[in-house]
Amino acid sequence: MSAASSLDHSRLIERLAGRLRWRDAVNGVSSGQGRGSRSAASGEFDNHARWCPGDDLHRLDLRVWLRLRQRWTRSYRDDSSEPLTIIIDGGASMGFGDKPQAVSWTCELFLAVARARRDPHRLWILDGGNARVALPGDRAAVATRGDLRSALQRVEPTGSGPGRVVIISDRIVFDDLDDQLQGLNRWRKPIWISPWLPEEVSPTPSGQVRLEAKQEPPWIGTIDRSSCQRYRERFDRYQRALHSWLTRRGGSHLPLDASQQGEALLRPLLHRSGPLEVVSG
Amino acid sequence: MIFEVVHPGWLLLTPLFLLMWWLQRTRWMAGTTTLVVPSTLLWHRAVPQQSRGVPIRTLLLALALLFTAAGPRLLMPDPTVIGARRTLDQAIVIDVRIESQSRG
Repeated sequence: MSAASSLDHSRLIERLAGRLRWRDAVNGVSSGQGRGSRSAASGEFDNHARWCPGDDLHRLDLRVWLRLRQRWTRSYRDDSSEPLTIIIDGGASMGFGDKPQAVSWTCELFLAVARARRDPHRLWILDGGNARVALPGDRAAVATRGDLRSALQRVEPTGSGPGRVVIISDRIVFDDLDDQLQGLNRWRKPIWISPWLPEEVSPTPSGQVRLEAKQEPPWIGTIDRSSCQRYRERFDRYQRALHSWLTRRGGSHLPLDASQQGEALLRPLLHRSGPLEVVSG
Repeated sequence: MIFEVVHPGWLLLTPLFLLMWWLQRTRWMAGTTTLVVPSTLLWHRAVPQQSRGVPIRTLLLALALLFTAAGPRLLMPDPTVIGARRTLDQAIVIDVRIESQSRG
């Protein structure tokens, strides 16, 4: 990705994040609740920002417009005071195809929302059976995939309480969810984002093949209709199990199409089952 | 005691069958496309992998079937009985024992 397009996406994410908030509160009151609304927003006045085509006219500061004939919007901040912990799973598969981009944008959006809400946030990367705080430029694909159970137990919640947790992982094969994900029991309502490519979700017949993946044993066989059907059945079974485990703890599972870009990639996050919602007004 | 096979042609065809099997197997291996995928774990779980090694058991079973089809048998020659045997060129040779001549 070029520097210019990267900048465009960063701007897009920053603009999106200004209009988004968490759909549900983890502990009690959600952001902006209990406060009066003003200029289609809530919370305390934060800053003025240039009005851009596409922005809501409700947000236009009419006083500034009448006085200076300049279009500015007033932004307000909603302090939800719920710390955000983002956990990115390591492994070579996380660096396959368009996944790094999808993971990066998803992560950026969550961090931008947390920044806009003044939420303390921290980013972790699972590396092998360990977990480390991500540094700038850290890539999940460089990390190795290891035991999820021990890695999750090494993730430390932020000092002001457990708050909210978002896990970004493309894992689908789980032998014992209760055992492997027990590290997530410290958080309420865990949000699991799965950036999957279309060929992972629904493979197509491709004859006699040798499938190769980094850090994993190769698979040799024939991919025909029946084997694709069996693959999908097994995939659905694992996905249902993960979804059920998260739902029982008040959380949610959200698959993302990692081959998509921009708004198309991030749109599922705003669906009814998604963790974010657009600020009304 | 005489050991013989009724249809020795089957045994002679064995190398040909082995050659055909080897050619077919080589062609299958050569026709395999290599695909790079994010993960193979689910494929291992969902669809059993085809074995890459030589299927010794299957080969032995096939050879045993060939051998059985060739019709092996053991003969206990009885001097008082007129016996027939088949030679490798498929000719039937009949041994006739004449009592008067054998004594004389």
